Amino acid sequence: MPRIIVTAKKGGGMTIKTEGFRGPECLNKSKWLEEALGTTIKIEETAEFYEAPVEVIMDQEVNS
Amino acid sequence: MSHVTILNIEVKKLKALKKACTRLGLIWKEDVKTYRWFGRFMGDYPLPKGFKVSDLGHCTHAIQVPEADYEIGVVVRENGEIQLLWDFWHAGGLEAELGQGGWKLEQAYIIEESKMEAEINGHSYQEQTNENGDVELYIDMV
Repeated sequence: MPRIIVTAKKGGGMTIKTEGFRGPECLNKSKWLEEALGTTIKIEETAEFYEAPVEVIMDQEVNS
Repeated sequence: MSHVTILNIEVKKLKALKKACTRLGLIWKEDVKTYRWFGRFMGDYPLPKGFKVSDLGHCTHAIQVPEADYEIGVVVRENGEIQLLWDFWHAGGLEAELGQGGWKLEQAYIIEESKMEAEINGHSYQEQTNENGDVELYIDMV
């Protein structure tokens, strides 16, 4: 399951890590949270960052 | 001694700060315009950036820390910026309660603000405190 992990560290500071997103899209997935929390954030890139995004094709029925 | 400084916490939402106070057992004092500190600027430490000597001890709201003599001043500037002021001189007891630089309040704020934002965006979450004292929030993104 894709998720965001916020770590508020003992002694101060925080990190935001994304898991389960493939490719650079993970950067956008946590943007809403980064903007809310401010600028003192270190973003950790997991191995999935360097993987190609998976294209999801959804079948859609259109009722006319 | 007077050692008033700005806490290094980027506070954007008072509601999350209030929740952080509740989490730590601190007392939010709404619209209380003064906070307890040494009470006199001795010039032995730089003034907080953007503040005058006459500003010290004045605030928009205050935070009482049980077991500490001094308090935290919450200052909401005209541009909406929120700053936290405290006198960290050891006699005031704030660092003893909240850690160096007030990290316990920062940690509580980060978690409470993250929870609020997750709820606003319709995400569920789980919280976990690690053995090393770090607190983690797992936000499901389905």
